[in-house]
Amino acid sequence: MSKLVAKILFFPLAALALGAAYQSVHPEGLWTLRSAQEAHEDGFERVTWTEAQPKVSSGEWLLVDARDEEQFNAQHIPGAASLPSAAYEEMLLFFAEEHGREKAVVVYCGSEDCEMSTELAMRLRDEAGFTDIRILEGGILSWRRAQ
Amino acid sequence: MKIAVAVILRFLIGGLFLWAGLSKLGSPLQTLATIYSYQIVLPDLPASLIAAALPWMEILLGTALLSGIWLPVATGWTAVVLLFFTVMTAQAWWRELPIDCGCVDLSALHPALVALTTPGGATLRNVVLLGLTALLAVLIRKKPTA
Repeated sequence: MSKLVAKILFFPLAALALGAAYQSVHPEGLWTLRSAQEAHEDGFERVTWTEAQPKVSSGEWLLVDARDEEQFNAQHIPGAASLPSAAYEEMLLFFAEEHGREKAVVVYCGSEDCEMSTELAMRLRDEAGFTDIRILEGGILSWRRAQ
Repeated sequence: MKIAVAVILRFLIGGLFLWAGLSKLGSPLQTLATIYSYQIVLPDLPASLIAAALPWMEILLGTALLSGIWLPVATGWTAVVLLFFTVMTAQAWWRELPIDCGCVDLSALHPALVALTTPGGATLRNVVLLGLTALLAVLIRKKPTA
C-alpha cells in the first residue's frame, strides 16, 4: 500500500522538482521574471499595461511585438504590430516609413524584461531613428493577467 | 490481441505526451502565457508552478507509458491530466475564447489537423485520448504484464 502511494506521489513531486530546477537554469525561466525597478539599466522607460492600454487604444502609442512571427501568430496583444527583434534592417526602415519615426512605440515580448524587447528597442532607436520608445513591463503576461 | 492493442495505445498516448512535454520545455514563458490565456482565476504562483511542472509531468508520464514502468499508476495520472486538459479546453470552447490550445500542433502531418489546436478541436481530441486511456486502463488491468 505504501509503495502504491509512493508511486502515485512520485509523478507530481518529481515533475515539480524537475520543473523548479529547470526553470532556475533556463535563460528565460519563470524564476527570472524581475521587477521593473531592476530593469532600467538600458535607459528605456517601463510602462505597465494599465498605463499603456488607454494610449494604445487611442492610437497614441503603437504596440510592437518583438517576438518571432510564430509566437506572434500563436498569441499576441490585439492591435500589436509584429516586428521580430531579429528583423532585417530593411524591415526596420520600412516599419519606420510606414508608421513615422516620431510615433511613440511600446515594445513587448514574452516576459518582464526579456532580451528581445530591449534588443528591438535599441535597434528601433539606433537603426530606424525612433526616439519615443518604451518597454511594456511584464510583457505579454501583464496583458494576460489584466484579462 | 489485447496485449498488442495495449502496446499500441501505450506508444500512441506515451509518444504524444513525450512530444508535448518536450515541445514546451524550450518556451516556459509561452507555456505560462498559454495558461493565462485560458482566463481562469488563478494566482501567479500556482500558475507558475503549473507552467514549470506540466512539461515534466508530460515527459515523465510519456516515458513511463513508453517503457511500461509503473504502468497502472502512469495510466491513472495520464487520465487525470487529460481530464484537466479536457475541462480547460471545454470551458474555453464554451466561452468562445479566441485562443490556441497550446497543445501539440499536428498540422505538419496534415494541414487540416490545425483545427485540433482550437479549443473545440482540442476538447474533442482530449475526449478521444481520455477514452483511449480508459481503454488502456481496462486492458492492463486484465493483463498487468502487457
